[in-house]
Amino acid sequence: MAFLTQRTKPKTVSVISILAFIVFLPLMLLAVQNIVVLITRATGTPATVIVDTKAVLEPITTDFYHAFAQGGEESTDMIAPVIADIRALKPKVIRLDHLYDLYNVVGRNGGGLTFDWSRLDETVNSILSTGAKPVFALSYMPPVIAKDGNIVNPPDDWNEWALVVQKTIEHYSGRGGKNISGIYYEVWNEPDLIQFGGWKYYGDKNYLTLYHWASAGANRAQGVNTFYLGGPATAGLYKEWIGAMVQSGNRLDFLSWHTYQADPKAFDTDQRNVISWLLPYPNYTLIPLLITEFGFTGDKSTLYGTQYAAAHAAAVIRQLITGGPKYLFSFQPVDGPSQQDGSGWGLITNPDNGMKKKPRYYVYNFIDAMAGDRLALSGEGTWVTGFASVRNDVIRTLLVNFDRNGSHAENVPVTWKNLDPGTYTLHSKYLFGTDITTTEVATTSSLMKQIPMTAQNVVILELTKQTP
Amino acid sequence: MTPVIMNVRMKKVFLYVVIGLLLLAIPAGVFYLSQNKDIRTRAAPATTLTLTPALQTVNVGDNLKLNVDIDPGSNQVVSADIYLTYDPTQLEAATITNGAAAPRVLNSGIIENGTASIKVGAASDEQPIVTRGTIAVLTLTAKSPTGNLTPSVVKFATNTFVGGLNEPTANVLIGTTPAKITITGPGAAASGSAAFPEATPNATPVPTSSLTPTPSATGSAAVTPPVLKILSPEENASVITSQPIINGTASPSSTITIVIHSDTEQTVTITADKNGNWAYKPISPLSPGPHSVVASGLDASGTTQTSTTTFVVAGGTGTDTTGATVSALPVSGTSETTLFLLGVGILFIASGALVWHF
Repeated sequence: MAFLTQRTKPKTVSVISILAFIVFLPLMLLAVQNIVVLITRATGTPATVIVDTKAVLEPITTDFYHAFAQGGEESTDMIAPVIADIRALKPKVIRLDHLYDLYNVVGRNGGGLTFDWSRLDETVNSILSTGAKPVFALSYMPPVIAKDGNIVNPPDDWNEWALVVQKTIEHYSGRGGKNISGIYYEVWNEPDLIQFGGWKYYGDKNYLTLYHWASAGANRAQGVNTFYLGGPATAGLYKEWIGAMVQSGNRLDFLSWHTYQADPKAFDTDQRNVISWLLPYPNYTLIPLLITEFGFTGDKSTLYGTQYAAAHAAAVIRQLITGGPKYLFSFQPVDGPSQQDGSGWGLITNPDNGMKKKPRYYVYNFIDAMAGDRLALSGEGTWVTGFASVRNDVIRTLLVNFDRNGSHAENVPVTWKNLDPGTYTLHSKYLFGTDITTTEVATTSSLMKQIPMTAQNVVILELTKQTP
Repeated sequence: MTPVIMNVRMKKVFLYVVIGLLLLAIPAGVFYLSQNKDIRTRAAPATTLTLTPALQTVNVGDNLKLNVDIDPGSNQVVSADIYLTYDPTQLEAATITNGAAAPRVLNSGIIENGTASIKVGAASDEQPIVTRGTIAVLTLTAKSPTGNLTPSVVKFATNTFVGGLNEPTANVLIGTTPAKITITGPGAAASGSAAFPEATPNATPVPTSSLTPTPSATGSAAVTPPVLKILSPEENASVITSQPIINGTASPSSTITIVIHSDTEQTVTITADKNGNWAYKPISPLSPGPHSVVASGLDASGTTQTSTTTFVVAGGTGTDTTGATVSALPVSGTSETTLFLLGVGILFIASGALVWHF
């Protein structure tokens, strides 16, 4: 080194030093950032769960998450091959989009429009076979009426768009058609995204205009059962869009949006936000809210084929178990084709990949055991969250350890307070693991157990008092 | 038939038609106006929220329950955003959930240090809350003692909101009434899970409260006999409700005479409960303006005690010292003027028709 400095001019050394500084500064910042991330990760709060077995709160229902949204990755009936598996999920509703661009519904004969429901009916019949009702995302613009034939454009004649909506409602909700009551018709799908038209709630390409004419068509529908019209089905929850919808003066029976967020608490934040935005509009405060697609990312990801996706779904359901939406639609029941790498969004792989059930498939029915009256639960942590309920004197506590980094494990101390002293059976049912049944004696009014929670696992602890 | 006779006959027919239309128009107009009057009557925020029981005496470590009761008046309530505040050094909230009158939880309850909040809703727009009932329930634990004369107050924060259908303003809340909790017992404050003593087998659920403010205390700790005193409304307080709850303390089970000096004097005799707490809500609404109250009764030794307070029933905006929120009321119209003008109009048309005929 001394040799180098002796042979190099001081000015050159300075220049080299500055260059080195410029090169290494970002690297150093990156390193610091990573260290901060690691430190932050390590300083999360472990859970110390306390269930007050006598603090009974509101009833909780489990219907809202038995909702699924099938994307249009194929122009065939994607539900048909997996009807039995989907029926086992006890779906209440299944949503379809791409109605007018995948199923050749709308044609033109001379000056008028023609409607052929045969292909769409096949898929709808499959949905009905699962025990669910269809939910229709009225999308996209039928090519025969779209400007330039582009399915994400407005129509050349808004009256034709209104007619398409009217005929759709008359076909599926009409007493002379499929005669289904209580269908939700959602205007468009993710209108805010460029690939679906890049609509705004103002300006020339105005979603409110699209919605207005859909509303006009809905209001013209004759001989129909009760149905619901809503939107805006945006890719996220946006205050401006919600405000524009409720102030538009159009018929609005429900509000909808999509949420793809890895943080389960973001779902709770959205619910609190949307209610606070609606409070100044009492006529809309109680309007049904539908999250018509949800997941941890809108991109394809191999994590959709792992316990990560299952734990995420469970953690989101925990956040919405009270004060949640009317329906929370998991996207999606079945993978599209050619996704052998496991990156599809589906709960079940495509027929070209064996129709295998992925871990997330098993979450919904598993959590159903929690139906009952909610009990006060405190002490959730950064990774482990949960809720408790009581039904027929059985106290159930659900815990989910969702770690976005996939590595966190902890032993969770769970205390049940205000128990009647006696002997109890504790049945620990892990979603991914072995069931364990033990006998526990509560000599006082409380009982404490350490519950091991590996990363991305879900457990329901059933506590039942043994009869003397 | 000559044209003159035809003209006279046409005029007669026209006159009969006009009179017939007027006869139809009068009851129709009256009905329409009465409907409008009904709408205008409704078109005024009229909802109050009250924490009940208004008074409680508990021991340190006891669990207690407060109901959030709603009186929607003439409003059709669909939602309530309830924010409650309390002194976290004296009380610790455990849970907050919806009550039977508000079957929907719009946002689950949040409990933080000194605040508890929840958003609740009616079953649907078609089934709004139109009668009195409980819309939320708060459970707390007493942590540290208060003085007998300085109870811990649980009250509504000013951002509490009640949404009503078809009203000129979304928020139809016009007043709130807090609750006061006297905590007796040793000075050591309970904390955290100790608020629910684990060593107590068969822990008793929180006490059930009633809508009438006649709470019963639990425990057997010695309590200093309270002197007769009006606790609320406080001296020179401004209250928005025309029927403010007047409450205070006295000798246990003693008889108290309350005189409200207003335009019309109201006198009532009530009995304090076994802990010396009493409360009274005027049967008749008090007019806007100042009012004074004199409460009198005998103490345990037979000595007459009196306590007085003066307060103002407000007609404007502001927040009173008891935590009651105040909001401006829209002025409702009356139908008398319209009916008068309608009558004048009818007379004018009828006289015109008669002049034309004759």
